[in-house]
Amino acid sequence: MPNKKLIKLCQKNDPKAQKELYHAISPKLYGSCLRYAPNKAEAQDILQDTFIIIFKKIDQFKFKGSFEGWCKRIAVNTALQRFRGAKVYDLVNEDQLKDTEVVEVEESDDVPLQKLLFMVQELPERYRLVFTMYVMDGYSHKEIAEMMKITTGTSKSNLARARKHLQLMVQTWRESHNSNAG
Amino acid sequence: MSKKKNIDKLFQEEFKDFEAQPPSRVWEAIEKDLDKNKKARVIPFWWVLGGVAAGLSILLTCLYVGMDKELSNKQQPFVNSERPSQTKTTPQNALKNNEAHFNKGAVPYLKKRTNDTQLATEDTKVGSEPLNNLKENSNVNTRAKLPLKSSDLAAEKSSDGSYNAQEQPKQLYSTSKGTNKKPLGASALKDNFIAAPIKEQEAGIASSENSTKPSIKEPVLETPDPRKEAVVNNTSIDRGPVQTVEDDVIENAIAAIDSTKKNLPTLEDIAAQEKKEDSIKENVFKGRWAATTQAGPVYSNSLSGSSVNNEVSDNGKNPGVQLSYGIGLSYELSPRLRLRTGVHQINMTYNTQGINYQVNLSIASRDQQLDQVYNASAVSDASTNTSDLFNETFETGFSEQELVSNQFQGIKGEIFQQLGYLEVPLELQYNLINRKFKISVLGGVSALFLTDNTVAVQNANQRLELGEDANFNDFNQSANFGLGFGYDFTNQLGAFIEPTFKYQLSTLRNNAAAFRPYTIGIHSGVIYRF
Repeated sequence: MPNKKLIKLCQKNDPKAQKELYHAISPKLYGSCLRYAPNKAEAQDILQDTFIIIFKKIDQFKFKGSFEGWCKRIAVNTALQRFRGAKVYDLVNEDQLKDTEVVEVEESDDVPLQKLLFMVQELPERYRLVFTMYVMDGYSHKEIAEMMKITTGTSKSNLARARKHLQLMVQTWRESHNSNAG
Repeated sequence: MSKKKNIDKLFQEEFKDFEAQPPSRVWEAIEKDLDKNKKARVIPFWWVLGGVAAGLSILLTCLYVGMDKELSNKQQPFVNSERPSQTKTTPQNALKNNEAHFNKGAVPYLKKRTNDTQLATEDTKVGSEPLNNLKENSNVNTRAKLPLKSSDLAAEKSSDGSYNAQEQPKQLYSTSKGTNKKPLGASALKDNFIAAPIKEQEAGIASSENSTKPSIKEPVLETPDPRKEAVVNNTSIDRGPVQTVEDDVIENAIAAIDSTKKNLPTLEDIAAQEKKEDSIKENVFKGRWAATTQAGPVYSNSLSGSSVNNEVSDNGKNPGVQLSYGIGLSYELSPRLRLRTGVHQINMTYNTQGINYQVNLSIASRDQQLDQVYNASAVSDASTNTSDLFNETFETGFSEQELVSNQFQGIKGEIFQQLGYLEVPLELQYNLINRKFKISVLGGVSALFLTDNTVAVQNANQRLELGEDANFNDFNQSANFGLGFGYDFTNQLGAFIEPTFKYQLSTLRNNAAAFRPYTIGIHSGVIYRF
C-alpha cells in the first residue's frame, strides 16, 4: 500500500515516485485486469491505460478513502470503457435466465488458478465483465447495470449464463484431466 | 461422495488475493507516455473548438453590450472647435483612383487526396477499430486487439452454441453442424479441457474455434513492435472466420457486430482515436520550420462607431477592400500545433459617407495658400446641417475661389481614411484534420505598426487631402481568429487558404465614438517546410 508521501510526490509528477508507485500497486491491478480482459495482451493494455489515467488524475485524489480502491475503480472503468458496446449473442432471450439458480461444482482444489483464470477469460465479453464485477469485485447488479449501460435484468441473466459456462468448463476440465490421469 | 460447492465461492476464494507481475514493457510504455506528456501536452481538438467558440461568444457579447451603451451615448452635443489655420491651397485635381485592389488569385483548391500510403494505413487502422482503446502508445500488442476481438466473437458463438446445445439440442445441432469446414485434428493443438467434450458433442464448432484461436493468440505475446503488421493482420485475420462460415447464426452475429461498430463514437472514443493518431505521428515527429508567402484581399470595416467623431457614427460606411501581402515563418510544436509569425503589409480604408466638413476660412485670403489640417471636430453629419450658408453647388465641386470665399462653410461628401500597417502576428495554428488535406483553427495576436495615414474629404468629383489623422495610434494590436484549409502537394510544399477575422484593439488615441474596427481577410499562399 503506497504511503501518503509517495502519492504526494506522484502528484508533483516525480518520476521516481511514479515508478515506485507503479511497482507497488501494479501486481494487484494487473491481477484485476487479467480477470476483466480476454487475454494477457488486452490485460496489459488495460493496465497501461489505467496507469496513464492514474498519473494524470492523481492530483484529484484527496486522500478520502483507499488509494488502492481509487486505482481499482479506474482500472474497472478503463476495462469497461474498452469493451463498452461489446455484445453477447444469444440464441435465447437474455432476460429469460434468472440468477437465482444455484450453480454448483464438485468441491475440490484440483483446478489450478491459471486454469480458472483462463476459464474466466474464455467467457464471452459481457458474461466475463458481469461475472468478475459481481462475484469477484462485489458490485451489485444495479451498479453493474449503470456502469455497463445495460438493464439489471440483463446483468442478472449474464451472470447466470457466466456461471453455467464456468460450471461446464470446470466439469469439462475435470473430466479430461481425470481421463488423462487415468 | 464429494461435496458440492457454489461456483461463485470457488472463484472468490481462488482469486481473493490474486496478483500477477506485469511484464516490464508495460512500465516502459507508461514511462514513455509520461515523458511525452511532459514535453508537450496535446490539446484535444474539441477543447480548441470550445475555446474558439467561447472566445467568439464572449467577444460578441461584449460588442453587443457595448453597442447598447453606445446608442445611449449618441446624443452628445457637437462642438465645432475652431482652430486658426495657415491656409494654403492644395491642388484640386488630385483625384485618385479609389478603386480597391482586389486579388482574384485566391482560388480554393480542394482536391482529393491521393497516394498517401502512410496515412492510408492509418485510415485503415482507425476505421477498423472505431471503439478501440484509450491507448496513447500502442507498443504493447496492438496486433492482438482486433484479431482477438473477432476471433473471440467467433469463439463466443461456438462456445455458446455448444453450451446451449444442451438446452436446445435440436435447433443447435441442426445449425451448427454445417459450420465445420476445418479438420478435426486442429483441436488437438489446444491445451484444453474444453476441447474433448466439445469434440464429442459439437465437433464442428469446437474445431473451428480451435483452428482460429491459437494461430492468433499465440504470436501475440511475443510480438515486440507489431504496429505495422497490425494493419495487415487485422484485415486478413479479421475476415477469416466470416468468409468460411455460412451459417445463419453466424451471419446474424456478424450483422450484430456491424451494428456495434456503427454505434456513434463517444467523445472518449474520438479522443482515443485522436490520441492514437497523434502518438503514431509523434513517433516520427521532428519539429520543422516552414516559410510562407501569402497575399489576399482584406475587407476592413467597423462593428460600430466611427473613427471620426460621435456626430457621424451613424452615417453610412463604405467598407474598403485592400490587398494584403507578406511573408511568414512557423515552427511545428507538435504534429498538430504550429506557432507562427511573419511580416505583412496591410491597408485599411474607412469611408464615412454623408458628412459635411467644416472649413475655417477666417484667416484665409486669396494671397495665402490654403493649408488644410484635418480636424475631426470639423466633420458633421450633412443630413442635420440645415444652414442656409451651405451651398448645394459645393456638393458636386469646389474650387480654390469657392474655398476662400467667405460664403463657403463646408464641403459635403465623405471622409476617406486610409491606414497602412505593418503587421507582425504571433499565432497558434491547430490542425483539426492533419493529413494531406488539412483543416485548422488559428488564433493569436498581431502587433500593428502604422506606416501610412491619409485622410481626405471627397465627393463625386473632387478630393481634398487633409493630411494625417493624428488620432490613430502608431502602434496597436489585433486579436486574430481564423480557419485554415491546406493541401500538401509534397512533404515540403503545400498551399493554403485562410479566412481570418481580426479585431483591432486600441486603434485610436481617443476613441470617443466607440470605433471598433475589424478586418476580414482571405489569405492564400504557399508553405515550404524545411
